[in-house]
Amino acid sequence: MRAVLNFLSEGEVEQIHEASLRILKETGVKVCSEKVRGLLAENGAEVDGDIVKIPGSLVEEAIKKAPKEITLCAREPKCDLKIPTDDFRFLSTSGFSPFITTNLETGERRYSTSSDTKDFAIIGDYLDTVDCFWPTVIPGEVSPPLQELHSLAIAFENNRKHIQCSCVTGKTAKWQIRLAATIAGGEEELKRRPIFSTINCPVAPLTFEKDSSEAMVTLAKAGIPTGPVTAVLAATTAPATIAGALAMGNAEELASLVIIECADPDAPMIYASEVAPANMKTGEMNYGGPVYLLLSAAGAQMARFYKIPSLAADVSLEAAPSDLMSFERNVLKAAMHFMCKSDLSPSLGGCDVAMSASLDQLILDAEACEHARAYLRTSELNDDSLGFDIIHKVGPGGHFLGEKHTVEHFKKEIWSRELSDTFILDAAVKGSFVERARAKVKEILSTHLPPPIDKEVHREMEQVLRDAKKDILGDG
Amino acid sequence: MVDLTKIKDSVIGGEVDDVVEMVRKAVDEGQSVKRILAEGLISGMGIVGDKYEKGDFFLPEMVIAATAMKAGLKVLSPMLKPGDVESAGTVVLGTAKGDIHDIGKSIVGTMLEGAGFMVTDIGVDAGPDKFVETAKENNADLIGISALLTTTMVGMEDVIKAVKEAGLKARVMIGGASVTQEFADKVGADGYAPDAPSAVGKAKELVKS
Repeated sequence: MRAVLNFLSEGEVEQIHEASLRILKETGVKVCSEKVRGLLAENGAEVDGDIVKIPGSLVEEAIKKAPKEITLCAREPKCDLKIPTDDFRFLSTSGFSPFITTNLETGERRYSTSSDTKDFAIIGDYLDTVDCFWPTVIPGEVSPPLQELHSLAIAFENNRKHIQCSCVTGKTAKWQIRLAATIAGGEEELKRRPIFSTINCPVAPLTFEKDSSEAMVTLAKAGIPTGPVTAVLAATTAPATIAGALAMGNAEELASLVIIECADPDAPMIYASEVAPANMKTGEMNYGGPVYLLLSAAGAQMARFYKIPSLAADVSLEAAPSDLMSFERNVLKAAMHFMCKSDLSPSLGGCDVAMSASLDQLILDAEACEHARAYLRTSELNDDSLGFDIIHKVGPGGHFLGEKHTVEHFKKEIWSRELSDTFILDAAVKGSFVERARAKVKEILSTHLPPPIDKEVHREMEQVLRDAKKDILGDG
Repeated sequence: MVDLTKIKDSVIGGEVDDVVEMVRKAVDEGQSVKRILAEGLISGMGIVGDKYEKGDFFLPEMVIAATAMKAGLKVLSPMLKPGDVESAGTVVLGTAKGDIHDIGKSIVGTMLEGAGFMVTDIGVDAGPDKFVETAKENNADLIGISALLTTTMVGMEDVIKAVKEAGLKARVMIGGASVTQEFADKVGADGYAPDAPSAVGKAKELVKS
């Protein structure tokens, strides 16, 4: 017995799949890279200008080739994550685009720097709730073309878990691979134990940028798992209908899979659907309403249909709780996203529609997720749990409290924690949720020191960063 | 020789049969009844209470431990002399007139016994006379009345009046799903507890005061 939130029936899953195949075959996708178009043409796609039409057979073949299990390895092997996961959702921080964070003391908003990226990495390393770390805010003082590489370096130095980062150019991909190889012990070893994975977004509708698609190919060849986050927005960059948005988002996901499997037939892909409704007043993504949740459930179902590990339901809480009532709202929201059965769920710590992130929000989101795990509890159904014998023994009018059967089972079956019994926040610290979270952040940053990277490896990483700067910026 | 700490551990673990068997054996071996009680049964329940306070134990563990303690005490009781047991107090417990919901009341009774009270349970649907008579017979320190229904709450007030009229020394505490502190104050009860574990604390407080 376990709660799972499904949005589509089995037949509807197949209908979405068929609709996506039709989009890929008849409309095709725009691929801005000549190299990637060439790769697809070699494998049987029909190229006309920059439009690539992908036959169903090529898609089906890519689905067959895609690894059905992926181990997201970590600097410290005990932090490795095997996906798909049946009874545990792996969580990661928010990341990539946020460039604004808040001052912990004053609550004032400001641009983020490397020092903030590092603080998020340290907190992410400390929190058991965080299974996988996304460099949460941008190291703003670093030259923009180098930010993704530096984010990864800061994450590796300050966090022992699997790192998932963005990668929008082929050059960045090359240098990220070299950087990770210094830690993994060479590129062959990195292919065997990928200690990072990437997020590469197609541009809706149905477009693959030159740099981003070339990065996908480079990463696939290096065995780095890739999650193409299809940021499809219903009513702006996709049809306003749920079915249409899903079919198009799924088509982008499948086109990404074809590119990746053509680049390397063993390359791992994470089904990273993020089909969302637009906010109909502002045009932004609308994380808040019920539609996003239902689309997440559908995305995770499509991934299960293809038997590909998924990242399809963000736990985007986005609001710091002011009291137990608003905290409970976050717990329930997190629980519903957990029930979508996505293997990975990011976005802890994010706010302002993922445009900013704060350390206290990260603590509070992690706290809510720990409570939400109660909704993922499983219960066995067998003779003992059906309890006929004990029901018969107690009989009408008695009670079950003092029975051995009760004592033996209640802890596993009945959640005995209160919302106010916190997992991460210190019970002895008084004040509002935000004040308590800030106290926790300060405590962690003043006491937690993730084990540093080996000195020799650190020197090699520095060298990679210097070489990358020359190559990418060309200013020596 | 039965190790009394094993009796204590079995009380904590709620092993009813083991407690009874070990207490019998210890008595047969000629061990001091007073020590079996103090070092085995009562000290076990003391630890159970601490564990509950700390949040390590929950209701089922409290109730099953109290049941084990009670079973052990039943073996000892024919041999106990006055003064052997330092009773926490004598309680008469029942459900108000018209109310047959006895589970909550029985759990409170078990927990009170676990905490060292001598409890006389007069059952359900009890009128003021029955409470007063039983309290007199047992020289009770405390009368506990339970009601689940709002319709039977009024019966509590009748008992309280009767206790006062009879001039009994017993204090009265009330509880049950429909009862609140406000109601307890209104009907002149000496105490109220919202749940079984806090009823034990309240009972100790009332007996002392």
